[in-house]
Amino acid sequence: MREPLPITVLRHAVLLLFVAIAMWPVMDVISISIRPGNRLRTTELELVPYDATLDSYRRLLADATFWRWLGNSMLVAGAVTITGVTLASIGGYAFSRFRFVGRQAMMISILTTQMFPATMLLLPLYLMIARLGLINTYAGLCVFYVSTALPFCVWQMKGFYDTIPHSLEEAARIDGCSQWVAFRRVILPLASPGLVITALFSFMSAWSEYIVAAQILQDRDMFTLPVGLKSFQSSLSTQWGLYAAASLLVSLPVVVVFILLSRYLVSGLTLGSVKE
Amino acid sequence: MATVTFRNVNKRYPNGFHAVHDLDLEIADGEFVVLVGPSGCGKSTTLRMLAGLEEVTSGEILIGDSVVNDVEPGNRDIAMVFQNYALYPHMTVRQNLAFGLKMRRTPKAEIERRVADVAETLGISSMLDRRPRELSGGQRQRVALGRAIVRQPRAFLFDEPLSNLDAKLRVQMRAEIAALHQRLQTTMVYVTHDQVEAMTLGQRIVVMDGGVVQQADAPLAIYQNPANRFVAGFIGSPPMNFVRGRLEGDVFQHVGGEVLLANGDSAGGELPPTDGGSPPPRQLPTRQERPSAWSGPAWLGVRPEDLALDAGGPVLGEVTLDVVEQMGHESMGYFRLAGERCAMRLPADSGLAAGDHVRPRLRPGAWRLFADDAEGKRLL
Ligand SMILES: Nc1ncnc2c1ncn2[C@@H]1O[C@H](COP(=O)(O)OP(=O)(O)OP(=O)(O)O)[C@@H](O)[C@H]1O
Ligand SMILES: [Mg+2]
Repeated sequence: MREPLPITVLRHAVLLLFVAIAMWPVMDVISISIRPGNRLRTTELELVPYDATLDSYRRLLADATFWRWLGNSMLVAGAVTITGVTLASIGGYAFSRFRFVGRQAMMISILTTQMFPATMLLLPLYLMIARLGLINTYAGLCVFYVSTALPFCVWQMKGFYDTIPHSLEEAARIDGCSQWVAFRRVILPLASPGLVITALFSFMSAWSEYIVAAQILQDRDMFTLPVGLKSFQSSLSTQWGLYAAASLLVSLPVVVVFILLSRYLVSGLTLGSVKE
Repeated sequence: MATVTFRNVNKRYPNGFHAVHDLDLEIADGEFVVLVGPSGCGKSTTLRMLAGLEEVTSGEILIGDSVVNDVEPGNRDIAMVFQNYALYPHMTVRQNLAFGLKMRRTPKAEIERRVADVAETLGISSMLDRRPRELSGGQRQRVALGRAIVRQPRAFLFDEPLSNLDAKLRVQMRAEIAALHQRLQTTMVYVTHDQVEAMTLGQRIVVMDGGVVQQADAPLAIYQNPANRFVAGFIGSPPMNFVRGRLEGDVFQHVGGEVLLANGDSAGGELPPTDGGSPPPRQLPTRQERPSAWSGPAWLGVRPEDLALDAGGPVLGEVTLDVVEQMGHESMGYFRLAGERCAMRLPADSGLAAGDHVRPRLRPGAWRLFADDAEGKRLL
């Protein structure tokens, strides 16, 4: 049956409205980043101003501090991703496949941690990290990020393993694998969409985080990009062009990572393996 | 090649469910044993304990001469074919077949040779580089079978391997599995709830119900001499007819009438020639041999093929046909007697239809008597 025309029009109108709402700020930032000088506000409506320039990008890319911060962010986000994915892939497997004392309680407590806003955990976690002497270290930051991202990741992975039939690892064990090898050679490859989602989540949460990083990192040299960017906003004059250009460059890796990994995000990887 | 022995094996699941009771079973080297029973009777549990996928709660399982209770599945040198195939979806057919050998560090050349061999035998050579999702159900089942064969294990375990195939393919694969056993002469333990599969494949059938072995014997022996009412009703299709009533002396009385079970002098006189598979004639014990309390409630059991208009024995009763199923070489008539659904054999051209009244006769001696209690032990 064909949809009546007014409905089609309405549907597209609503969708376009939301696309516009989502895209507007991004367009605005792009526009600011290619304006010469420090024009945050302008009366012009064009997206690309008549005197557009890539000056801000040039200055930014020539700036060693920017590269330094980028490296810091890469380091932290990379470490968080690797640790998070490793721990979540193993932890989620345990929750999915084994029945042990305290399993239920642990799963509920994992879920419970997700009910508190992250800012509420800021103070207690900060104190813990301070006691551990990890203030102004990447390790401190990583501990914070991993511990806040892990519950979601473990839950996510558990859900993923639950969809993989038990008979696959049983077949592998009969084929001569230990439980661990069966996990590594059969289950883990099948869980790769789950791993990708977990990795993306860990990476993005660490990459764009500001509040915690601003508390834990104190040397300008140690800053991650979000904290570094904020320092462009000086009390006297904010270099809006630079700021906007940097914001866009910061988002770029996330977009790239997403595009690279998204081809693994296909569902139905276990298709054809078993018959339900 | 190895024998398989269950010694007083029990399985209790963590939730307290007692799935297998005191299982004692010896499977000879090279024997094809079929575990059969209704859903939930503990067949899979038994097989999975043998595979090492479930722990044994008490008792011992031996493969060859060694107790394997605490041996890892991979070290038992057995192969298993799963109902849902359980192929590794991220590997090609070739990798699926080779996986077990690779895990056992078989030399590469040897792996290649064996995989090619098995693929040839099963007719899947052209699919070696496909992934499971690119195969049809029947092809997947072949790959699953191949993955087991290529390992050359001491015993094969099958858990309802054919139940996901359509009827025609099932018959074909059944024949292939039988041929495979002929060729390999390896011990095979096969689980199914399909009694036709059990009858056709098994050298010995183990009938289970409620976690308890009801009877273990050759297919024909089980068919002819079922140990109890459960086995009698489970093996055979359509199932054996049961009529509840009372045995008084030589006469079985039921609501639909009386059947004189005495032999020789009763209607029909001499026995008809026994054609292939027909059970030996049965006789009531003479009055002297008979236990004193030989009368009381009982079930009379008679197979549909032993119930016919011209069977020559006593009349079971006057009944009305509900349904007549034409099968070409003969037809089956269904009716109710004493509340139980019964079936009888009719000639294909009998012209009888639903609603007709008939007087089915027993083939002399081809009946059983079962106790009228929960156990339903065969009396005669
Ligand atoms: N993990 C488990 N925990 C508790 N009870 C179980 C478990 N697995 C099976 N059971 C119970 O044990 C009984 C036997 O199960 P099993 O799988 O051996 O049956 P089956 O004979 O193979 O039946 P089917 O023909 O349906 O496959 C069933 O009643 C089942 O509910
Ligand atoms: Mg089963």
